[in-house]
Amino acid sequence: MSIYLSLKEVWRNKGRFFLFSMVIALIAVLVLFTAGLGEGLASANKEYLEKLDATLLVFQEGTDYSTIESRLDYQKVKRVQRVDGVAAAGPIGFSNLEIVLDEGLDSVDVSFIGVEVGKPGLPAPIIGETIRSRQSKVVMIDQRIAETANIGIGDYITVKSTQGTDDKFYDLRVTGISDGQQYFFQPSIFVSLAIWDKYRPKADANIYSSRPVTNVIAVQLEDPNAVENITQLIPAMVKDVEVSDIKTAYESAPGYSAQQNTLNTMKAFTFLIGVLVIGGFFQIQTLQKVPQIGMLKAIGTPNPVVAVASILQIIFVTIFGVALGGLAVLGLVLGMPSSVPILFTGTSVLIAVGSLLLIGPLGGLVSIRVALKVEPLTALGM
Amino acid sequence: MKNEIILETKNASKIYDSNGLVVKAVDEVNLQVKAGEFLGLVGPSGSGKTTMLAMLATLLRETEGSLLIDGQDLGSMSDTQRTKFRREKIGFTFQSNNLVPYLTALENVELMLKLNKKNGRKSREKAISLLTRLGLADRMDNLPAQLSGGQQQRVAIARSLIHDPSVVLADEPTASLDTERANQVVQIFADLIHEGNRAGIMVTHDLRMCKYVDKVVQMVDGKIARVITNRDEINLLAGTSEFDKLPKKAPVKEEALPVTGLFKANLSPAFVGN
Ligand SMILES: Nc1ncnc2c1ncn2[C@@H]1O[C@H](COP(=O)(O)OP(=O)(O)OP(=O)(O)O)[C@@H](O)[C@H]1O
Ligand SMILES: [Mg+2]
Repeated sequence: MSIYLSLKEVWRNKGRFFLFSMVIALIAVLVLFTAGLGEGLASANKEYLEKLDATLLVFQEGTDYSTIESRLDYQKVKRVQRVDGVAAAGPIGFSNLEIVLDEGLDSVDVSFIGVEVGKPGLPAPIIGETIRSRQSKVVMIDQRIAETANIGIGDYITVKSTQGTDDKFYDLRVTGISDGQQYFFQPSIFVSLAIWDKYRPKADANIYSSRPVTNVIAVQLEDPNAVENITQLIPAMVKDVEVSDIKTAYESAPGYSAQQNTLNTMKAFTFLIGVLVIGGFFQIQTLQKVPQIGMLKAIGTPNPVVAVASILQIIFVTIFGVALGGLAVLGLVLGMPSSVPILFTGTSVLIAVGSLLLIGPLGGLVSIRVALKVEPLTALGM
Repeated sequence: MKNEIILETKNASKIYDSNGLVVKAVDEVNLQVKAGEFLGLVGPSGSGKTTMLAMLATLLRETEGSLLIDGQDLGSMSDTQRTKFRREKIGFTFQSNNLVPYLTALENVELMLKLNKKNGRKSREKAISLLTRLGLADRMDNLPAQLSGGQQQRVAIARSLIHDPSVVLADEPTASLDTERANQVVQIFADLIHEGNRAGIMVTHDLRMCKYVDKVVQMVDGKIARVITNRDEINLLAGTSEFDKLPKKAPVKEEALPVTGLFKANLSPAFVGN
C-alpha cells in the first residue's frame, strides 16, 4: 500500500521529483568529486612510496619521517643491512629536475629518484629493462612521462639540473618504463644512486663531495610479521636513525594530512548541505500535504502506511538522484585529461555512495515526524 | 436488514477544554439511524454537527455517554481498532480535500478497497460501475485537478460507498457546489444509501438538500432541538430558503424547542458555509 501510494505520487509529479533528483545528483557529483580528488591528490603524493617493494623506511633521527629533511650517510646502509631480520636495504635519494624536450615543447618537471641497483627502491619495468649497471647513464621513466612527452625505450632524454649557479644538461638513455610512480605531485624518473648524486641539483659547496648522501633507506624484512620487532631493533643497532612503516611515512609527508583533512571537511559539509536541502524540501512538501494526509488517515489509512509511504518516496528520489549523479561523474571523468588528479578507488566510491544514499532518509526524518503527527480530524477542518 | 438500528448514540457528549475554555459542543445527544435511513443534520454554526459526525466516524472520542455502530461500542476500542473499524465500516465525504490529488478518479475509489486489502479485477469493475452510476464513465482516468467540484464530490461519494460500509457520513458535501450540482449529487447519494441499505448522515447548511433525506435532526447548542420525520414537514423545510418563515408555516411539534427568537438568531444564515 505504501509502495503503491509513493510510486503513484512520484510518477504523477514526475517533473517536480525529477528536478529534485537533479539537486541530489549535483550534490552526489560534488561528493564524488571531492572523494575522487582526495584519493587522487593522496595518490599523487604517495604513489611511489605506496608501491615501494619494502616494509620499513629508515630516516635520520629527529626528522619526523620526512623524506626531504632526512639525510643519511651512505655507511648507514651497510649497518642497517647487517641488522638481524633485515632481508635487504636500499638507499633512496629524492630530488627534482626538469626534462628538456624538443623546441616548442614545455619541459616536464619530474621527481628525480636515485636507487641502488638490485636493492629495494627501484620499481619493476612494465616495458624494457631495469637498470643493471651503477655507472651507465641510463634511466627508467614513469609511464606518465612516456605518454605525455612521447618517449620510448632507447630514446635519449635531456635533464636540466641547476648546480650552484649553472644550469647543467645531461643526457640519459631510457632503458625501461615503469607504471605510475608519482611522488610529490610529479611523475618520477629513476637512475642509479651514483648517477643521481652526480646529476642532482645542489648548492655549490657539495659539487665535489666524495661521500654520497641519501635521504632514506628502504628495508625489506625476512619475516613480514616482524615489523614491530625490527622497527625497534634498527634504531638500537644503528645510531641516529628513526624507523617507520610506509603508511606512517607518507602520512607524515608535509601537507598530506592537512590536505586530506580539508577534503574530508569538504565532504562532510557537502553531505550536511545535502541532508539539510533534502530535509527542507521534503518537510515543505509534507507540510503542504497535511490536509491530504489528514484525509487519508480519516478514511482509515494506518499511520505506518502513511509514514512508510513518505520515506519510500524520499528513498526513490535519492536513489534516482545518486544514480544520475554517478552517471554524470562517470561521463565527466571519461572526458577529463589524465593530468587532473582524480582517482576513484572501489572503497572511496562505495563510502561516498553509501553516505549519499543516507542523505535522503536522514533528511526525511523530520517530514516523517510531521506526517505522523497529522491528526485525521484536519480532514474535517477541525 | 431494513429497519435494523445500525447507529445509535446514548447520551453522547463532547466537552472541549482548550486552555481553560470549556465548550460543551455535543450535549447528551440520543440518536438512532436505521439501515436504509438517510438523516439530515442541520443547525446553526457551532451547534456541534461536525463534532457529532467526528465522534461517529471514530475521529474523536466522546467525553460522556456512548456511541454504537453495528452494536459495537466505539469508545471501547483502541486507536488501532478504531482505524480499522473506520476503513471497514464507515464511509466519509468531507467538505473539501476529499481526494488524493495524485490518484485518478478510479484510483481514488479503488483506494478504499485497496485499504481493505481488496485488490484485483473484481474491485476495479465494482469501482467502474459505481462511477458510471454517478455519471463519471468518461472521467475515470482524470486526476482530481481535472474534475469540476461536483465531479470531485461524486468521486468522493463513490469512495465513501464502494467498500459497503454500514454507515455513510458526509459533512457539507455540497458546500462548494451550485444548486443544480448540489441537487444532483445529493439525490444520487440518497439513492445509493437507500439501495445499499446503509445508515446515512449528512450535515448540511442548505435546507433545500433536506428534501432527499428521510429525517431531519436539528441541533442547537450541542443539543437536539428538533426532529422532523413527517415528509410534508421536511418538504416544507426544504422548500423555504429563509428560515424565519418556518414557525409560521410549520406546526411546531412537541419535540422541537419552540424558541422563535433563538431560531431567528441562529438559523437565518441558512446558506452560510464554513
Ligand atoms: N478543537 C476544538 N477545540 C475547542 N472547541 C472546539 C473545537 N472544535 C470545535 N469546537 C467548538 O465546539 C462547538 C461545536 O463545533 P462544531 O464544529 O461541531 O460545530 P458545527 O455545527 O459543525 O458548526 P459549523 O456549522 O460552523 O460547521 C463550537 O462552539 C466550536 O467552537
Ligand atoms: Mg461543521
